Amino acid sequence: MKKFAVLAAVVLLAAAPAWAQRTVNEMRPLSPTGDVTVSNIEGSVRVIGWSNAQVEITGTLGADVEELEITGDESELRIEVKAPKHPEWLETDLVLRIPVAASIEVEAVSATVEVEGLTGSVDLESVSGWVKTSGRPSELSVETVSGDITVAESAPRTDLASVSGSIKVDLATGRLDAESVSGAIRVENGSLESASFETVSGDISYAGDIVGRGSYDFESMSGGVTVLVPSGVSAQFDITTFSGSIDNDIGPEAERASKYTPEKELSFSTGSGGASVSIESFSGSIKIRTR
Amino acid sequence: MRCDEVRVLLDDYADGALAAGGAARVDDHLAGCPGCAAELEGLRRLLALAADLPREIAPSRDLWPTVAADIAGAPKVVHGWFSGSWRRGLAAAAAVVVAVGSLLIAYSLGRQHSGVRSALAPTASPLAVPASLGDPTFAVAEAELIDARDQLLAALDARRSSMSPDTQQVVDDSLQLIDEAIARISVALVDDPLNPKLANRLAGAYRTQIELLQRATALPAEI
Repeated sequence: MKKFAVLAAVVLLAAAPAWAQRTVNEMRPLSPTGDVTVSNIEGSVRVIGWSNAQVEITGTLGADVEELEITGDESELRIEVKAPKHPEWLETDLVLRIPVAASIEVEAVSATVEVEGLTGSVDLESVSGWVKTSGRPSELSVETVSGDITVAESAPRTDLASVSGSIKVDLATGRLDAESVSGAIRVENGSLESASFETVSGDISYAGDIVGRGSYDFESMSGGVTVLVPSGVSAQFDITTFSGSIDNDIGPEAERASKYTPEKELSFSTGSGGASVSIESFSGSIKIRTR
Repeated sequence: MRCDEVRVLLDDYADGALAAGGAARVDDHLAGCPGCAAELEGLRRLLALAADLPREIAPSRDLWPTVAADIAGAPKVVHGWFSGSWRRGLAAAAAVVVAVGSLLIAYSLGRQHSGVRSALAPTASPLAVPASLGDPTFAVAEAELIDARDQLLAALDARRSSMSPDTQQVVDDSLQLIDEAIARISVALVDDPLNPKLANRLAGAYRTQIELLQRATALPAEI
């Protein structure tokens, strides 16, 4: 019996951080187009749009979290997880419901960030946590170091950047700038008016329409670039690589640009040539395919 | 006329040095060929750029301070975990790279084109340094880029302790990859010094490297 009591005490102590978590349930007024800023170090932040002129904050705070500081007023609300200098248990999960048209800014370290159903401006930063967005904000900016970025639907103006995290956009319209170092960039169902994709070693893949007089720039050092366009696309293509390959399904073959180097170039237009597609790599392979 | 025949004549065409008959044939071709028309437009932009270049190229200490100040300020968290967003921090470095990259391109073009050559007279270089390609102008331009890179490398080293091993590895691998690209392009330029596209590519590789370094030095602390 004594052995059982000791064992129970050990189990309870080991589980202490879990049951020491405190729950959060707060409500604050916010104008329909107000600004909300959230910062969290570890855990998760989930932001959901709703029709109320209020911000609801629910979730749990890590055992070592000093407090959840909520400051500001109806036009601007700031929510910050306050931590001591050398914390061990910071895992804090927050769920926020904010007015649909409000602007949200989230700063996270190793916390994941998820935003759904907002039409205001969305600005998200996470160091190692992944970031996911859905809905169509008026403006979208996401930056991570190693966290993956997944965007279900882009904004009229979207900026995405990561070091080693991958970037994936499922439905892309408007203007999109995406850059990474080693992470792959993948855009599906694109109907962008203009786009700029840049990596060092990450692969770039774009599948979508080439619109009217749109401008599309792809640049990589060693990453491969694959562009899938509809048959009958109307665009001017300018493609160049130093030592990579150019594999083109919709026009002429690439030619050596110099007798001294392995450089290859390919310039051609299809249809009326309204849009501009520029692809450049150092050693990455370049593929133009039809969808 | 075929595109390759027209492109050989574009320099003289842009200068108005073609005979009337030849110019008319180029006109006809340009009217129906967006590729060659774009080539001509690019050539005219480069000529305009070269014409606007200063007769004396400022030494690095004159071009660099804005970037240096930016680097010095980079670790400060201005906004969020990221240091004021790396894109904003890139502006100054990009300005130097554009300016110096343009010199590289204009220089290389200038070796083919007398109009550009006169804008980049040998007396332009204030530094009597040995040129990587036998011309001080090129060496000065390249030295600017190398200087920018070296200062950012020093800033990166100062920040390594706050970066995770994985991120350091990604950055180091990428820097090495770009270094290899720069080396290969430089060798190619020795073989083919009249190729402005190679000079453009070299400037682009330096730009990529400097942007990467600027971004890396502005990353938030991971540790």
